[in-house]
Amino acid sequence: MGIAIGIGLAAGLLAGMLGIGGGVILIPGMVLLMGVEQQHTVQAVSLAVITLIALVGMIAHYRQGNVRLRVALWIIPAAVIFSFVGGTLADMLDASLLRQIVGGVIVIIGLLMVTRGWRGRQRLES
Amino acid sequence: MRRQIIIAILVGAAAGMLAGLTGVGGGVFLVPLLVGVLAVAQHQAHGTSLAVIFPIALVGAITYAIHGHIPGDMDWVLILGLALGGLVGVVLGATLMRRVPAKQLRWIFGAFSVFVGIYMIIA
Repeated sequence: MGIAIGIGLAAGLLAGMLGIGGGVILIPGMVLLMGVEQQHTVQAVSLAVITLIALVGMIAHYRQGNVRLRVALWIIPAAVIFSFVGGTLADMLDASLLRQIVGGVIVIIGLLMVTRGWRGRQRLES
Repeated sequence: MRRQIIIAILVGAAAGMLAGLTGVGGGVFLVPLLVGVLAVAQHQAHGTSLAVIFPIALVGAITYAIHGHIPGDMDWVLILGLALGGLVGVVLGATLMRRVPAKQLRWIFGAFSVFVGIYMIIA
């Protein structure tokens, strides 16, 4: 329970500060620290927890006037359709292959975060 | 305007596909695309990103549940712990956002993610 709360806390902090869902923490946390075996279940739980985190985070930001609703409404329809498509595709894939795909995505995300950290600073200074 | 809407649809499709397939992903790509392509201010990009992630994750979780990947006998204490930590964290994070150096934060979590991802591939 303590480990779960710690992982959730780290994911939530990252979500609140950087505007991301937190899956990049939740999934490795469950796989590597909590030893959850079934890859599909790990991803399902990640999405369920992200739903809660994003809802509360969205409300917190909305109160400060930091949600551009119209832009969000342009993006959401295609996003939810393809979330369903992606989830159905994942269901068809073998768990070990899926885990490797997720690992690859996390590596790419990590590299993007490192390079964006640098570029974000540049933008602030310019 | 029309070009922006088309880009928004494509961004949504890509973010949704990635999140549905992997359970990770939307926001890391959404925030830079919101700022860089759709001209949303940086401080509004985080909130807008979360507003998009919420329905993506909800539909994704339901899709996994339909396919039987949230078994009834699973460790619900685990989910409760993750959710509890997550909710406290996101409120704290949104409040602290302005006081934390985002650059260093991205560096640390970025480097961490690269190692963790590689480990998941080879383990």
